[in-house]
Amino acid sequence: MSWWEQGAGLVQIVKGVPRGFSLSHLLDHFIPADMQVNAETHRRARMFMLSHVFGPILGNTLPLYLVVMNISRDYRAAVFFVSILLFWAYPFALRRTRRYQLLAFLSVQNLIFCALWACYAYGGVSSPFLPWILIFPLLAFLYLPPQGRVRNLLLAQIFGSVFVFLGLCFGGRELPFVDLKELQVIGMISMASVAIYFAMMSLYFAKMFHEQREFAHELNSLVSTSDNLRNLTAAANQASAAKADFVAGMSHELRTPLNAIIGYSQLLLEEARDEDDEETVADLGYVHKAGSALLGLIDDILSYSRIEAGKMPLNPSYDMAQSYMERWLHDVEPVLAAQGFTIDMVGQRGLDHPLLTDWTAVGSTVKHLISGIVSQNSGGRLAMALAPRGRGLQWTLTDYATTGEARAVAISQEMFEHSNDMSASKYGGTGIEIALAYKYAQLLGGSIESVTLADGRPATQFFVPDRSPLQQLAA
Amino acid sequence: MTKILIVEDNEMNRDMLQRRLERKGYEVVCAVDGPQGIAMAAAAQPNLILMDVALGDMDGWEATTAIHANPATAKIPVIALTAHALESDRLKSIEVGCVDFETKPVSLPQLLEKIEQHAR
Repeated sequence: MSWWEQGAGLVQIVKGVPRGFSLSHLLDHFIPADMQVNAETHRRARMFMLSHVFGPILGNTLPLYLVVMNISRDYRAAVFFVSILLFWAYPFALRRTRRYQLLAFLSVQNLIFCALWACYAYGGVSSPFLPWILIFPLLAFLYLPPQGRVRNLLLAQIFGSVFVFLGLCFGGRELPFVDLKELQVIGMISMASVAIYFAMMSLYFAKMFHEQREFAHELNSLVSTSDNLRNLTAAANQASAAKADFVAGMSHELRTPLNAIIGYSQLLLEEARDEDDEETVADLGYVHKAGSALLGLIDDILSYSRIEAGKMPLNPSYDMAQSYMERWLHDVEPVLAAQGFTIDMVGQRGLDHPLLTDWTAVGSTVKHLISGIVSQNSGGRLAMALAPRGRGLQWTLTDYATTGEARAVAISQEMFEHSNDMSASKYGGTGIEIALAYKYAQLLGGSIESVTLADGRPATQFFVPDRSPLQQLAA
Repeated sequence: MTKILIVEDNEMNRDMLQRRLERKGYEVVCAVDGPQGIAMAAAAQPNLILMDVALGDMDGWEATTAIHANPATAKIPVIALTAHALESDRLKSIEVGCVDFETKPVSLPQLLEKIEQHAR
């Protein structure tokens, strides 16, 4: 059996719902769901149901025999028969009223009446139905909790009823006439019925006890597995937090000298420009550009690590997509121009209502997505269409070559994580831009995916949901 | 001439920023930590303060709060300089009374724009 099949079996045991039809399934049909939660209560309810479903079948063989064999075709057999038939009403009453204790109490009353009636009506202390008296205390034990007022009351009542019966038999009162010779066969049937009833109840009790022990064992095993998983998760979270702290510390240590490299190269660049020293301007330009690129990379790694460790808090605020993206475009256009790209933004209707999200994170997602796309080609045009979609906003980015043809771009969350695929050489950049865009999108509750538009053009879509409360949206 | 006080504990960053601003025609005075920055603000009465946030024992936000608590320096505008462009840093800067917020390494044209906008 594979681990998957074992798992499925385990779930089956835990749910306690056997496949297909079974006796337990039939019995559980009448047991209220809240009684099935506690193993002990469930066991007692099942014994109650078993007794009430099959007991009347066994019991009614006795009055039917009396009638069929013409031993007693009168009110005595009718009362006997009806009082046994009444047991079939209890399962339905339980399903409807859910009052188990009351019904268990009434059921034992019913049994006391029907057994003592049969004994009284058919021979008194010599009655062939006397063995049925033995099952009174048995049922009190099986139906009701080991302690409790109801059970003590019931036991007292059982013994009281038996004493009253004996009092009637020996008190000189005349009992209904019956020819005891005619009752010899039914005596054997009665004994056999009691034995079968006892056997049925005992076997089912043993089966249930075994099942519950297995269930407890499986439950312990599950609890233990769950504890292990919790410990492993805690250890993984701890490791992730430690990694984020390390990256943050390293980032700080790297930024300080890098700030000096970038700042001094800029200072020298300004001085060289003032002196028209073009050669030095070009050289310092390379130093400055490389330093800035390195700083960007460190920031990206730090952001990636912070999101992974759950240390990047969101700061949602209301803004309108239209005005935010216009401001954003103003900043990003020069960066794209430096890489030989132009960008066209097409907005659709519905962008002028406030949307609640972390707009800084939205800007970072789009910026990193675009950086990842443009790093795959040199020069071109990027079309960015922005439109409302469901409860949120959707960006559709299409990359065009200078010839005007739409180009497919490689978009994958694994581009950075699986660094052994040489993503840098494969995709042009380091791959972290797109991986970081995915992380930001997940943080925002959104998504990024490669799609083919209706006209066949390949595109990349980024969706971000609106965090506004529903009632506000409805208003 | 516009006088600017730079409060920055890192020597290279301080020197670099001072030289770049002086080249643009500003008069620059420097402090190396929070307490010195508070004292210099009162003594030099600059037109604007560029305050690094990570300053050791007393951080830049505490120093800004102290500067604004002193009536003699309360009206001097302070621009916070931080290492990361975090929204939480920006909000904290506004909370303590900074007029603006700039991330390091500073973009000089952007910083000059902010200085011209806020210098009293």
